[in-house]
Amino acid sequence: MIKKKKSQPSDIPTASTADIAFLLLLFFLVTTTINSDKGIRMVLPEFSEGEAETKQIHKDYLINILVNAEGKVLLNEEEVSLNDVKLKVTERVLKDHQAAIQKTAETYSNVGYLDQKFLKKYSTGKFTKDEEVIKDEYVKNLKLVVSVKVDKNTEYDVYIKVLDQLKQSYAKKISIAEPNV
Amino acid sequence: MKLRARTSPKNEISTASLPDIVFMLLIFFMVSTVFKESSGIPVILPQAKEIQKIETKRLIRYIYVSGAGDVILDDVPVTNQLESVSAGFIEKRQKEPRIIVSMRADKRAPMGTILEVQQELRKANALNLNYSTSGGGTQ
Repeated sequence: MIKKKKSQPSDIPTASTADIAFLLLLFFLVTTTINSDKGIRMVLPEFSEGEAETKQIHKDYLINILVNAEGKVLLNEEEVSLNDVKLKVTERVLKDHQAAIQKTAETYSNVGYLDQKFLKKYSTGKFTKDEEVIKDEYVKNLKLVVSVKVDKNTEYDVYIKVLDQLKQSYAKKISIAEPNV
Repeated sequence: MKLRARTSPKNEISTASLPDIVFMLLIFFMVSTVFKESSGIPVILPQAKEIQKIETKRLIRYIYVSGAGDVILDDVPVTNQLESVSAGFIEKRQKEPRIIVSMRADKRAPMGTILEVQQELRKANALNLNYSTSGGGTQ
């Protein structure tokens, strides 16, 4: 004789699921830190064995920055204050830009925006959208390299200040010179 | 006059979907949590203005440099054996090739040490570098 099996109620009580989930949630809430890191991004050059790869840069396209142990800044053999680095570099970039535009304008004096009107406008520093694009394009193709050389005992803070200002100015190519061995 | 007994209307909020909501939140926090591998040392970061935020927190590996020039990697001081920095980063790059190295150096750290560390990073081919700074800064 087969006894009829009585199916037992097999429900797992789910009333406390919410409590368990809340507990886990609290744990993750407490351990999570949302703030992410921020700073100045750099991409280092690849390491080459033996003889360091050298690249000749014409001095017209070079800005030399030397920083000594006391935090004094020498920009192209001229002492500048730490907060003037941005100004000097920007000035130089815009001067180069102006010279380039002038040269182009002389060659194609009657083409579009590269005329006397544009040059006049250039001196006032106000650009239309099109001109802004040309300027950006120029800055992107800029050959100017800024070489930063620091002393062994220079404070990191000074170096970051110089780097920060270079990033703010139009100089996009920054070279960090090797420390003297 | 006879007062009629008021039948209070049922005004309970249904809690059946509560676990679902909580689980959803839970999953969000579980996914976004990154546990710190090392606690590091306290440093006073320099200030800068032109800063970028790193969105991909998972890719960041930290290296600490104290004001006195001590280098700390994974909670181990490696000041006098900087070769182990490149060894350490070669190992890290095998696990995750796209790592970003975040240099958390003190304001007063000497540049000599930082440039040496950078040399080691180049040897390990860990070329994505971030100078960790706090906001603010001049100009």
